[in-house]
Amino acid sequence: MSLRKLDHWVTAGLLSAGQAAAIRAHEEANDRPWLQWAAFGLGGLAILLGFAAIIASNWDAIPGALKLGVHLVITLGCAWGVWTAWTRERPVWIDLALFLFSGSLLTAIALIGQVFQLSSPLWKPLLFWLAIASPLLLTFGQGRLTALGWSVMTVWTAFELLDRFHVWLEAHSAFIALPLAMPALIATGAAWGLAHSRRQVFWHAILFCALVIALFGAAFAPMAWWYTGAAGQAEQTAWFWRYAPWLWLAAGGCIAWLWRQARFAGVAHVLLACLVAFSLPPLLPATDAAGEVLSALVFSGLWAIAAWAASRHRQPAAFKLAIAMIAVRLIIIYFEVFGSLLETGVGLILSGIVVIGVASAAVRLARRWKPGTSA
Amino acid sequence: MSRTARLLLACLALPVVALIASALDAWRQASTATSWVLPIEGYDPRDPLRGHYLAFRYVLPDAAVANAWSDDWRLCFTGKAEQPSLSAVTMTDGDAGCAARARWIADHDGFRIEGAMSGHAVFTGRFYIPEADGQALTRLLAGRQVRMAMQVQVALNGKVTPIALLIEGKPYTDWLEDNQS
Repeated sequence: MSLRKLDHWVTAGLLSAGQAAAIRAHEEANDRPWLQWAAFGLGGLAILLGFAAIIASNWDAIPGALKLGVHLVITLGCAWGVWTAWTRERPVWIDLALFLFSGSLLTAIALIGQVFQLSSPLWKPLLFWLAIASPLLLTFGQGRLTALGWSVMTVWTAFELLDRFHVWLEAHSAFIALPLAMPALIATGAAWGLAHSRRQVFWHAILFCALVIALFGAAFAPMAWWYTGAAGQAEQTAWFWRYAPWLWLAAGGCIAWLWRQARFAGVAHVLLACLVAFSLPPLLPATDAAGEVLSALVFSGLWAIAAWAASRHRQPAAFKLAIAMIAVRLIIIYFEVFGSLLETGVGLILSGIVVIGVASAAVRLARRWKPGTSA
Repeated sequence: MSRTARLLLACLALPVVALIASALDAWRQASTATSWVLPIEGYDPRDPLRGHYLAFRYVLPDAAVANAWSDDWRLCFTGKAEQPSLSAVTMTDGDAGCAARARWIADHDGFRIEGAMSGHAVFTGRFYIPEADGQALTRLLAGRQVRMAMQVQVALNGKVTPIALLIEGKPYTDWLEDNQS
């Protein structure tokens, strides 16, 4: 902690000189040698990188069995780390060890693929990783690190699945609904975890990630729609009607379940807004008109709903993120709409004014609703 | 030992066991497979190297390729490993006479047919190579001055996996070492 403000507080009469001296003495007694640790850390990192480079330069000369064997030892070492941290009840170390262990599972899958020259589309190894790592991460994950790691991997897998099944869309119309409904399914699972588990930080982070994914996915769909053009839109509409009922059934069921619980009503509102935004464009007549402004409005509208829900449910971090998203999107729209330097300059000035307006409105709203203090 | 402790051990054991099982399965498939050498050449001079993969086409007898016209093709390997004879067979032909049978495997790009319906079908594949050798191999493949071949394994399920790139009958690393210095 910085101690520079102590003198200001003494001058302002908030602290006595004796109290300030006591605080200084306490902080100095408990001071940790950060600089020394940082130097050791940097040195260790350099040595590790050096070893990695030496191994990499001789990679093809190392027999496959040796590579696999050494990797197995590393993976088992990480597993031992998880077990040790868990028996000593150190949540931060459990999370770090879980992260390293699940990371080593991913590299092991890649290594097996390389040694045996297995070629397969990316979704297969990713789905395999999810299947073997999820029970551990979801049952024993402690904090934001594992929550973020698992969420990123799930989104990546869903993205690869969507990419793959896009080709077979007609045959797999029901399957494509599943990765699309994934944010709603994860959010529902996280809500269940928040209600039933002591690992509140972990499930809260999972819920946060699911909502961010839902908001980006839902805002991306109309943008892709308007950039496709009328011919593509007609084709996509035909596909949409094949999988939409399955999507509505899966996501709608989750939203209905969340809606009935006062604590998660805001989550249900955001997810419903996302489902509506995602489903809306195919219901409109096909058009060649570029939808830059419309897609920006959908994006900003969704995040405005998120900001509203966040402030109602006392989530200051989510509220700030939502406001920042709206501000950034408004700046981007001027780059999209205007072409020349002069117009861009005018656009930037206008967007600056809009951003200041949004920010001051947000501050006023935040004061009125006081996220973090009242319901 | 508490119930949670047993659960943690089970959750830690599951991925390790699954990984070992998948490695053993890959090893079993490789060890029961038969090995063959097929000549190759570049088929797309614009982009033979994608990432760290060398993309190439197998030089197979015209009759075999022409008869393997469907996406769900089957090829029969007979003769010597260094000079196999290939012919197209159908699903109902049985195993008679084939030392190995290759067939279409979904999502497998080590040995697959392209343009099956166009009448100009080719069998293509891709093979992982280190970045440093990429430029030299791409030039060799496009130049067609040297004899290049791929050692492939045909597994019992019909999957064809390229396992070694050969130049003038030697592993390509040895050939590059002899000819670059």
